[in-house]
Amino acid sequence: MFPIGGLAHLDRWLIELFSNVYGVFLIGFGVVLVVLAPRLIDIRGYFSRRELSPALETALTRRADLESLSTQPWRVGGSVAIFSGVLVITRILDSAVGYALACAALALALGWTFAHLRNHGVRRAALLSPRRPGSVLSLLWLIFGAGACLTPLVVVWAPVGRVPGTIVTLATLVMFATVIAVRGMPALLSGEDPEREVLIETRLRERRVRGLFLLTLGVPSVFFATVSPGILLNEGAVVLPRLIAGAIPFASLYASAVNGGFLLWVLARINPARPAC
Amino acid sequence: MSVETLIAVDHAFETPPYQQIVDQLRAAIERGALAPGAALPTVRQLADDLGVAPNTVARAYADLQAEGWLRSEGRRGTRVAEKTPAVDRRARANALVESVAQFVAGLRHRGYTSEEIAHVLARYPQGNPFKRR
Repeated sequence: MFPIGGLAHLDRWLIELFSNVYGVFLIGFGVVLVVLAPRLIDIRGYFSRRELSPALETALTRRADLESLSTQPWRVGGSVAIFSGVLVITRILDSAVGYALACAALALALGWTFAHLRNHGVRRAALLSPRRPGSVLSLLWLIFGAGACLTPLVVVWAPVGRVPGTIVTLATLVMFATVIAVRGMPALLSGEDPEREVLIETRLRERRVRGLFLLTLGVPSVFFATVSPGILLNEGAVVLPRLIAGAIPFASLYASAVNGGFLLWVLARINPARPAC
Repeated sequence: MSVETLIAVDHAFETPPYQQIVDQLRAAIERGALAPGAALPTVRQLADDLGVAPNTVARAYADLQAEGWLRSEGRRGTRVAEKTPAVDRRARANALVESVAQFVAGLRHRGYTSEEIAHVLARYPQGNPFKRR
């Protein structure tokens, strides 16, 4: 058995400060989701102003009508995050549990949105070429990502991490399943302006899948930052099996490495023509 | 921007969906929009995109394979045949007349007058058969 110490000597005020900052972070996150909900579902955001010709605007409006996304899931998710933040500040909830609830709400909002996308809209036109989901997000990234999604499970061994670890793992897996679903989702084409519709379809799929995958990978990374102080500070010298105690920093490092690696990969593709230093 | 080749299925037409797919695929190959050897979407992908049952697309692909327009490569998918059947001009013209007759009959069934249909057909845009005015 291995006693976790290190930060246990820090004063109680640091724990209070951490909880307050974390509560404010959750409230801020929730406010962003509620206030920016219309912008989060606005597909014009995937195109630069320079690209937005009148014809493309028309095609985007038609696509938005076909998708008819609702801001409701985002507002509900944001409200849960705000509520969790308040509970964390008032010490009713542990910061890690508050974060886990916010993640669960986010995962459900995303799942709800993309289930709607999958099932809504009358599909009547199709492109006569095979779709290559691997060009949007390769199988290798999915394998690395699946591993990162399971990393919060190591925290489940610690008493303070049991509930949040389980919730965060489930939320991350829901988000991961959503990534796979969007990656292979049927095209939504009306056939009225094939060239622009295919451009929109390609851009939306690419940005949505990569953005969602980045968000999914971010969940365990932030979770380890949240729960590790929780384990170390809330319970003082918690005694954990040596293997588990050693696995927590390794899992945290792995999740952060995959998240960071994918972020760099995405950035390299957004601006491929970056001049050499 | 490249010219994208799309097909569409309209359930309001009297022509069955699988026949609409067959007609449009054959037309795309004939006009060169689909080159010999070009890979086609999987049955599942095309069915999902068109909102039809996979069996509908599978039947269309099977018909076109039987006629020599497509060739199956098993699990690797379906491709346009390298040598498509020789086009019989008379048969092709008859098929066109028949398709237009079915199309017009469908529109008249939906309440459009001959004048309205003729007016739209006269302004029918070239290169983009789906574009609405």
